[in-house]
Amino acid sequence: MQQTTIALIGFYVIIAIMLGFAAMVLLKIINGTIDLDGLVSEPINPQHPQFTGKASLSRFQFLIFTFVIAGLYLLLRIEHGTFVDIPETVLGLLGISGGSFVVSKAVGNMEGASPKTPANTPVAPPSPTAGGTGSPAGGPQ
Amino acid sequence: MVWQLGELIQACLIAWMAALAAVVAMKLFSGRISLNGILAATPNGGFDPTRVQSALIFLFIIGGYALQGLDAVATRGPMPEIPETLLVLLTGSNGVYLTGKIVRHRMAG
Repeated sequence: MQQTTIALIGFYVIIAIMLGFAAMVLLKIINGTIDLDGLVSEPINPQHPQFTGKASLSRFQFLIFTFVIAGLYLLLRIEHGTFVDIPETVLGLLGISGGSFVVSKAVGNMEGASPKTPANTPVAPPSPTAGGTGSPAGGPQ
Repeated sequence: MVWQLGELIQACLIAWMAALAAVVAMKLFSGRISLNGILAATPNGGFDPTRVQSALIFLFIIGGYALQGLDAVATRGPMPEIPETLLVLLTGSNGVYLTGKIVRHRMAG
């Protein structure tokens, strides 16, 4: 068997595995096995992370920036047929957004760990909302 | 053959990314991914000005960049730059938001 044929078969197998992974992740997200309900919520109490709190602006910001920049990069990569350069300012934007997310998370964890704040007390799970499953958001999967 | 497979993979990648974005958007709009209190400092509080200004500046920057990006895709141009002034604006805006959050934490603690 020629080396190029072996390389091609290996390439097909690797691509099939990667596409299979991607499809499984998407399927599990769609059918709810991978729970995204608490995607932009911050946990009220780090000791009880299954009870999610209110939505976090920094998480939401990071999510949207990532989607827009990753989507744009993918489109441009396909248009050009080769890897395109990512401008430093775009990397800076992601860095600022990611940094804000990390600082916000650290402050949120400090709030949860502080004995004087009500956030340290165990809280009841949020009441089911319209369209909800009735289980706490971000709960056990 | 390889070239056709490459096109197929590209189509699969775009479809996967679009489907992921669509699922997240649908969950956001249906309320399954909750945005409750995103502009409030506490779960039951009112609007927090530091969050409102941060959200407005973020929407302004990402909206402008998305439009520039669509233009770049249409014209087969390079990935668009973001003006440094906008980066400074975003840094300041996020700084104000985080300062407000830290100050509230210190006052509460």
